[in-house]
Amino acid sequence: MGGFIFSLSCILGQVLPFVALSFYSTSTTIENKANPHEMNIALIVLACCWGLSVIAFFGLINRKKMWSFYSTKTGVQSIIRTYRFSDDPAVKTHMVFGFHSSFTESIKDEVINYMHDNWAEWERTQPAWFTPKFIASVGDEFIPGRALQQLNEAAAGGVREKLQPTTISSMKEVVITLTTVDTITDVYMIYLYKVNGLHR
Amino acid sequence: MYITSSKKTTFHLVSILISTLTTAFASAMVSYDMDVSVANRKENPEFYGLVKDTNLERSFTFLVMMLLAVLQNLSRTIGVALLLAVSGSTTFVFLGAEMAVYIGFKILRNDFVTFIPGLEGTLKYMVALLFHTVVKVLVDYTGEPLKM
Repeated sequence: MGGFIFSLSCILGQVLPFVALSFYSTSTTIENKANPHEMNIALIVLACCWGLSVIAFFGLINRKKMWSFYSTKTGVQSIIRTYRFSDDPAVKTHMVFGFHSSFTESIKDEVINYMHDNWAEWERTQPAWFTPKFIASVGDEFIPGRALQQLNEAAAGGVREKLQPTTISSMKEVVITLTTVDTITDVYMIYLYKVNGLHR
Repeated sequence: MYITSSKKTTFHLVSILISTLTTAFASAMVSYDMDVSVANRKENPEFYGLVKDTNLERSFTFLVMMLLAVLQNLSRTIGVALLLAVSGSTTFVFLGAEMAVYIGFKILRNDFVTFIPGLEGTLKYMVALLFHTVVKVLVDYTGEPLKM
């Protein structure tokens, strides 16, 4: 959600009941109105408890992570930063291929160079994360030419297996297939019921 | 609704409190589990690792997280209930405007598309809208930093 927006949302959540109460207490159309003065006291107690809990929370947590409550960094900025600052290939590749491709579009050339520089090493050492599923999630442009050619040659039909993007039309196919199977099953069940009757 | 009900009994209050506690427990547990997850901390050490590592600190932090969720949930729910008692349309406009500002802010900052890989075309934006709406409602009513 973003640290700053999150904190703002929490503060708004505390302000909202007081604003709502002022509307409530001045409204003349409400029947069975609760006592606004008592409600005001209850809200003040709740807000004070919330304030104390916030202080206790910040006293308990790791101070180095406090920035995350006022940071204005977006998801994209955070992922690019993690990609750049991590030395672990598993983390770096996950940041690129484990999230939506648009997140790292701005550093695509940098990622292509990194992948081309290290692909042969990963093929040789076969780290745990370098699985067929991972390779299928990697776009052609990120794989060095020779390795891509080998992958295509090894695949049935001469084209390596790749994760296909999910679009509305591909979802439509799934929905139509499921609906058809469901309808056929229903029709068959009705047929069985007509032929055999209801067993008690 | 309790606020406008002619019969305001303790049973109603206890019921509201139990609902709040269960919501708070579930949301605090999700946030806590995500933060202390070894895989998450290894993958993104800058972001995860809010909760300290001793048993006592972890227990107290979880309790405070739950308390924060209870108080946030109560404040927000009371606020919305009071607004609803005044006017349904005002409440709808307020909640809608709040959501619109949030979504607008995300779009302006180029932070609208969600992390889910492989989504393309219109579906990408539809899923993003649904995702942001659900996350905002969850965060607003629990006050838990859902780090997704």
